[in-house]
Amino acid sequence: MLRMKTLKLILIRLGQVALVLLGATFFVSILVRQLPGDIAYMINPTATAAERASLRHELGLDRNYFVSYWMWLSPILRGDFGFFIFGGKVLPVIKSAVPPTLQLIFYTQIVALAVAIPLGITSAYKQGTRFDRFISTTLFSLHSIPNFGIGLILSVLVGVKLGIVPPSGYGRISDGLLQHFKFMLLPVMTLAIAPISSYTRLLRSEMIATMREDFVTLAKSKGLSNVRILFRHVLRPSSITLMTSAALSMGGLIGGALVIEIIFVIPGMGTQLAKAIGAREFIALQSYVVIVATFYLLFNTIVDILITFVDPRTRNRHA
Amino acid sequence: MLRNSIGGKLAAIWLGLVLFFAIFGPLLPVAKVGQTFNDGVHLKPFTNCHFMGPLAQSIERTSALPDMSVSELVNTSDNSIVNDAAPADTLPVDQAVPVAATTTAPTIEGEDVFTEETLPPYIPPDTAVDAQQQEIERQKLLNARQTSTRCFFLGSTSEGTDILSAIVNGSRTSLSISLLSVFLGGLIGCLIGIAAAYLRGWFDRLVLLAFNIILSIPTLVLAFALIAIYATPTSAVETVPDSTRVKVLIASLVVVIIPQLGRIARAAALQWINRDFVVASRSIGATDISILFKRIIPNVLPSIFAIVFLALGSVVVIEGSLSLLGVGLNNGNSWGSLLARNSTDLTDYPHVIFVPVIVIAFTIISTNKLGDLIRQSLDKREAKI
Repeated sequence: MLRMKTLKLILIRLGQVALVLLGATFFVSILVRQLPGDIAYMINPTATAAERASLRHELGLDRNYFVSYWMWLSPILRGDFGFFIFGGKVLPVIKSAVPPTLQLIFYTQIVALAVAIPLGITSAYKQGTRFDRFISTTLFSLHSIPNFGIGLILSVLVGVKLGIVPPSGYGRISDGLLQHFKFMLLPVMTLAIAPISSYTRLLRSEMIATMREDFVTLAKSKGLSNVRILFRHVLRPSSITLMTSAALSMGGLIGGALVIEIIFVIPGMGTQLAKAIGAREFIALQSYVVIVATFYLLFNTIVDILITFVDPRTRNRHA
Repeated sequence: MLRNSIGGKLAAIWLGLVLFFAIFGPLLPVAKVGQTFNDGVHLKPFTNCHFMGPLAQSIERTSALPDMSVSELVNTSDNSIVNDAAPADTLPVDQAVPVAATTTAPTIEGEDVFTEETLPPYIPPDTAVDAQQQEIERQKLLNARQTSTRCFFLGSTSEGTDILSAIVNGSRTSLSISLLSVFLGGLIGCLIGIAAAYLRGWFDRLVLLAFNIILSIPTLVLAFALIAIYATPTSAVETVPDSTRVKVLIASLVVVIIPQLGRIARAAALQWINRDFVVASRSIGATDISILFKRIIPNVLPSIFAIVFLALGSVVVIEGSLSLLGVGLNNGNSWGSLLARNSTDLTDYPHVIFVPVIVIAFTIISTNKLGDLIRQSLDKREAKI
């Protein structure tokens, strides 16, 4: 009975996501149709009027929004992401651009959690002390610095002045793991600062709330050591919220990663997006936006469904 | 609210300062937009600053500057006249004007004039080409210092623009972009959100779907795409005027803000709609409009204000990011575009980048701090109810 109910909820959720994705792609396709100028002229400036008309017909630009949307969508469903106006297919570019972005996001998440969990536990344990106030003020200030600012400053101070790691660029994993991590160090540090700050604050307040619960008082009265109470009784119930927030911020990190990529010259989706806009590659632009939106939605949905399994209290949230 | 918080007071002071500069910037003795003071020489922070009434000096000296760009001065006058400041009447007629112009600055206060002694020591060159190059550099630096005795408190950019002036001028554009877009986006978003919460049914579902669709595209990507589409010239040779760029920038920020604030307004309104006093006023025959405006909106507004401060900060960041990405403003007339325009000088002259970054960071720390304080005081008020 319960299983049927869960399955139904998951199906409803997936249906909602599909609807949002359809809406988002339709929204983008309408936007792209608003572009000034004749796309057919851009593709082939020397073509005659008749050739241009047939090109427009081929791209579905002379039909209404729904038909042209379908003419763009149906190849994508078959895995064909269109072509560049100045030659070449979009799909190989997407295939090469997605891994750097995903690596950036995953490393950031790992670093953020690895730093935030000890910090959060310590500042919850020492709440109200000078250490706690120092950590929370520092993190609050760091959180407020725009990430492009942190990126620029780090690339000058660490990359150029100290010269420990390359200030910008990207090394593939196949070209050597050490080189790969050296290139990734600065972008990941830059991106991780905001999540470190928010995770630490979240874990601290959650743990302080949990420490007031009755079962913690019981554990104390049993004479358990502080370390055991903190890690076995307090950390586990407090970490569900942290995990939720960490997983949901995965989607938000995509947006941040796009700017960081451009600052650190990483050939990911952000760089490709900027290139497509600079070169007025509008078919490619449409496909890139769809890819980014799909990842964003998928992260959030998978997380949402997983949380339903982990934390039974949220099961009726979407009903 | 601010009584017990030093951080809050500092934040309010900083925002007040920025607001003051944004409003009274044109009346202050700062350089106008695009006005340059030297011939493309980077000046370090505190160049020519003597800390004895720097403001008064800068007023006099700004007005004493010739109404002529430095490159014109250098081209029309012989370089030697800078070194041996000869009296104006002994020179040929065609050189008299620039000499008078270049020598007026040092005579103002009779202060230490920048002569050969204060310049970096002359290093003997290795080759003839090096010598020529060094001489040109020396002349440029000398010219820059001779012709601009104004105080470069935060240094100058590679175009010779005073950074402090650029920051003050930029605060007007940056602040008006963020205030206008947050105000418009907040107004529309709140109206839609509160209406959705009040009406429920199909309208609510439609609004939620629309919000989710826009939120499914990352903020920066959406703003990026909107500006790229609506502020792109139709051909490669044309350029889009800055006024159009600003309008499109504000419009796309509004589109981005509407769902974010709208969702919060909807959630906040839902909390109040079934409270007893709302039901009571409906039972005595109050109209929907009067319930909305007298009972719900006054209660929703405070929680919106807290978010509005956070949104102001994030809009400043988005504006900067868009400029860095190359679709925002690029005239050096906003904080973001100051960054974008000078980002190539990052490795050699980091102060050109650090100063705008620090100013942006202070502004965002302030807005976040104030938003945080408002939220805390709201939580206390909620706890009392």
